[in-house]
Amino acid sequence: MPPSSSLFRLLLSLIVSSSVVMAETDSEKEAAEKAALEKRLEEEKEIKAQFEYSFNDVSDYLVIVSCTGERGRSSGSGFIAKLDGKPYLFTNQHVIMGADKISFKTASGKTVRPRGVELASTLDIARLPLAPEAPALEISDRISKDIPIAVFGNSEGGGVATELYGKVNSIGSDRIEVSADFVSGNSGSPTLNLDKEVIGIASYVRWKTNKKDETVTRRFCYRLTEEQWGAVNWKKYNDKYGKQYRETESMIDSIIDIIGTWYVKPSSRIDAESHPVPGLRSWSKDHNKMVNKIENMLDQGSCTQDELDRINRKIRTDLMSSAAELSSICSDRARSLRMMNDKQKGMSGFLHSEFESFCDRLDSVAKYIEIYGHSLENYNYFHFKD
Amino acid sequence: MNRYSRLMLNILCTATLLFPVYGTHAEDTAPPAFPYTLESIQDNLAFIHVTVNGKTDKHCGFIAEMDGSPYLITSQHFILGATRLRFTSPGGRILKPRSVELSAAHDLVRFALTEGSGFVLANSPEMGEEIAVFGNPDLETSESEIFGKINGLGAEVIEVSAEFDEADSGSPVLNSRKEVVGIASYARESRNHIMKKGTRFENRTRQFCLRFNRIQWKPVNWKKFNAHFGNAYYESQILLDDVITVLNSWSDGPLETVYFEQQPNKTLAGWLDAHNRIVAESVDTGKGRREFYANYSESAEKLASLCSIQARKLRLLTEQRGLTPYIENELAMQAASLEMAADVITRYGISTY
Repeated sequence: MPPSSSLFRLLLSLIVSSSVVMAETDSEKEAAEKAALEKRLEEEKEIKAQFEYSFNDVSDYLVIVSCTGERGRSSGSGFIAKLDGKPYLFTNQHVIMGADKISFKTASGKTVRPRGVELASTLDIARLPLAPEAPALEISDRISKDIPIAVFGNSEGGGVATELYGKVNSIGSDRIEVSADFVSGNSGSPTLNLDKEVIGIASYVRWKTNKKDETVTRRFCYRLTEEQWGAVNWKKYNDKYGKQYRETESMIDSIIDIIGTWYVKPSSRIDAESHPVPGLRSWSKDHNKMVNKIENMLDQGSCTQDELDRINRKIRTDLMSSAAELSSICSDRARSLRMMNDKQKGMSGFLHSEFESFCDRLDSVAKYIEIYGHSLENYNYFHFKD
Repeated sequence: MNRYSRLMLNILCTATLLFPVYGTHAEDTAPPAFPYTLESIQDNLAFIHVTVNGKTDKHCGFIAEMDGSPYLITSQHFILGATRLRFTSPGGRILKPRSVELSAAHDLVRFALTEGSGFVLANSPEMGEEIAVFGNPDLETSESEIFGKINGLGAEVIEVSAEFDEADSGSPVLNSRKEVVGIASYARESRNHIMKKGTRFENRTRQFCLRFNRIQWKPVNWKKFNAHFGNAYYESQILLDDVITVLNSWSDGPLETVYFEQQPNKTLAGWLDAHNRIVAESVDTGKGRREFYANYSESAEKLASLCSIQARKLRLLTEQRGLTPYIENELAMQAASLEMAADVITRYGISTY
């Protein structure tokens, strides 16, 4: 065999062996993940076996919360429980905030009609008073580490209540951490102990990536017994703050998407021309007009080095001012939101801290876009062909 | 890690609430003691033969007793826009319904039968209950008996672990007492997210069945209803499918030739020929860049306008009397999708220009 063929064969075998190694690594990883999930499900089965009551015994108290708003439909969870001797429908504030219409139906199919809305003073919890005779679960603050728990709620907003089991991992003064795998849509689900008592409300998930590049996820439930509650005129409150909450949230989501698109290609068109926030809408229109102009230059034909430099300079200036404009839209919004947040006395602690967090995120994003704009200082759109 | 991903991580890592979403493991092996087989319930199964534009498809349905009378039940979306409907039992017996009633809020239709009996509806399905989906035995692509358990319970839907597929839609979901707990309706793929990593919700498809819980049935003059709303629904669905085909072709590049398998809409078929000519001329003759761009952009605008016209028609229909909330919602969603498609196509045309 001629030497070149040997080399080819060697290269081929290297490529093949490396892809085999890759494939093995991938399938090993997949197998390990599958085994880990199976182990978790097995553990969950063992925990479930310790419960003397079943999902069916509490399905009348489990509530699917369905909302319709400007951003479309969404859904979360809730439950009916007694606090201070009175029955309430409990859910998270963030489930119902900003919704135009809300419906509450139990997993067993009954419609629930609350008589008002009361908000927790600090935590992300809402309780909606029900008729005094309404049957309800009991709430307890008897919690110890490692006790078995069940979380029944509307996982992924599928419109059905599912059953998840786990243990209490840790206990705080106003919240507990649990191992049950609750996800989006489970917000507002009851966390029940072996005695069919509610010990918390599933509320949020935190995650981070550790040094080994593994995702560490932690799930938290608020305790219900330590809160102060304030009744609100829901329509007024929601119109004033709830809508603002959703609009700002959607603005931040859109700006994160914009950064994602823009970072990949500085002359990208930005899809926000029909965004509900007027500032973002008009910025997107101006930005896209500028990009169209740049792309139309593609048809200009030949030019000298000086002309090319001049065009590139103009493009740089336009892109940088577009970045500066977007950055100031974010920081202006953060400023006005902060002023509003500082002045309002009628807002719940949850909304105050959410708006504060929105302001911080908007400031971070504004800073990032500003830095990105500066980084375009050396960007050349057009090059001569080699 | 670059600066961008670090920032994104910072933003995402701040306590993330379980935002409500905008959409378990399968146990689909036969339970050892499921007390009956497909053969024993075949008499209550039905097929709906739906003909549209000369092409006939076969869908699943079943017979159940409601308020003491037998009804043939299936999904509404199968029959909308049909030019001919025929109903048979698995043995080939012809079934002749006498009237049509639509569910006001759900994708369900029932046809009143003059005689016979059917399944009984289950009173209150329970979590963990064993169930079987008796699918379409005539289709090679699907299993005819799929076993599982109820693993989610809602007011209007239940979730089951039986992994039925699209071909089984319309099939009865029965408990061990041969009672109907629901109708196989749709599957939903879980959206992967970092919070679902390592949980049962990662890479998961979930199967949902509509319950017969307080369904409001509305009798309709089917011929009229179908001519008015059913046809509009069907033609919009075809248009949407084709527009998605075009957009997918364009995602490979603006000079891709666009193909449809079959195009009953003459205007769209005409657009297709004209558009492919523009593309072919550009490739074959290397026409002037400006002229090509202008023609291309005009072609895109024509397609966008087809979508906008259909969307307007749908919007007008949604304001008419006689609609059920289910159809109204479906038409409004189609209109919104067509408006969005028109917007995307217009911008695509401008950007190409």
